[in-house]
Amino acid sequence: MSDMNVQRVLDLIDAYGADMNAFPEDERDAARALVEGSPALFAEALDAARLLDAALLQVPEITPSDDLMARLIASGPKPQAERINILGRLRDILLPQGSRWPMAAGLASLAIGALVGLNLPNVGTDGYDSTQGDVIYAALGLTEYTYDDEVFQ
Amino acid sequence: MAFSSDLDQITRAAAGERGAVAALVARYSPGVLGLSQRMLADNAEAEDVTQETFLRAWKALPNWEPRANFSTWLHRVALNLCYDRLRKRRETTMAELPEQVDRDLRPDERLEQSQRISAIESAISALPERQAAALNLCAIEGHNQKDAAEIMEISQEALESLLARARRTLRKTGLTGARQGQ
Repeated sequence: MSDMNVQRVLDLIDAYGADMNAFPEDERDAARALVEGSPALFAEALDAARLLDAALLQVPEITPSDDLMARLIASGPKPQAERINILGRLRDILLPQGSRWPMAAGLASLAIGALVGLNLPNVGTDGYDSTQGDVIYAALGLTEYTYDDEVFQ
Repeated sequence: MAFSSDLDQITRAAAGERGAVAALVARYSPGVLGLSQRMLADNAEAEDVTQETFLRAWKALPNWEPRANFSTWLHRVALNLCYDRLRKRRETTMAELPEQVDRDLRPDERLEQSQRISAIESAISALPERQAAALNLCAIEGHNQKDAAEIMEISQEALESLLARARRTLRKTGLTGARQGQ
């Protein structure tokens, strides 16, 4: 970098320490050349920075415990087959006889309901005859036919 | 800190391949845990943050943008979770960090080393949180300026300023003098 100067090198040492490999890549070579050309200019700053670098180097690396690693891995995505297996197991618990019988039971219920419904007389629960059409039209407000009309007939 | 095989492993991990999941955990959990532990100075909280970070990563994997840097993204999530927790703390408490000393030393040397490490860690965690984050990422975790700035979502100039202030503060605490035998 062409605008490298003494103050910039001192700023770099101030921020990144004495190890010039830690300097930003695009300024590293120019800074190193300047330091090597005039070492006395930077000796004091480098010495102070080295002491702090050495102190920071003592900070131990932190290693996750086996238990934490196992938990992190266990929380990871599951294969598609395993996901389907989980759904399958859930189905087996809820429908131990398989899904054929519940489906047959559902269809039978529908058939019985339809049969009973079709054979019922067209009479309301109040015991008065009324056609389905009358009630629907009245509910929609399309006729003057009311519930009272039917009750007091 | 970026690995060329990341995308391949991300794709395989997203499909649930256990080996790829384990590889991502092995590669990135030490950095995430280390950053969290030094920011929060609390083992249990650091583990919680690490777990939460990876849970978010697993959710993000199916829609992963190939150009994104997994390491940067992961550390940014962890750092933001740390910031959230630090904000929630009314008082900063320095929890005991695990004792990590060299077993080959004599007992008195071991004690001295343990105290020195504890002093350094205390001094770092007492820094303002953004200064601590910058120092942890660059000086301890070894991220380059570009990655650290991206993780912190700041410019490289701002990162440099934070680093310089952090180092000046640490020098003032007498940390460097302590190492010389104080």
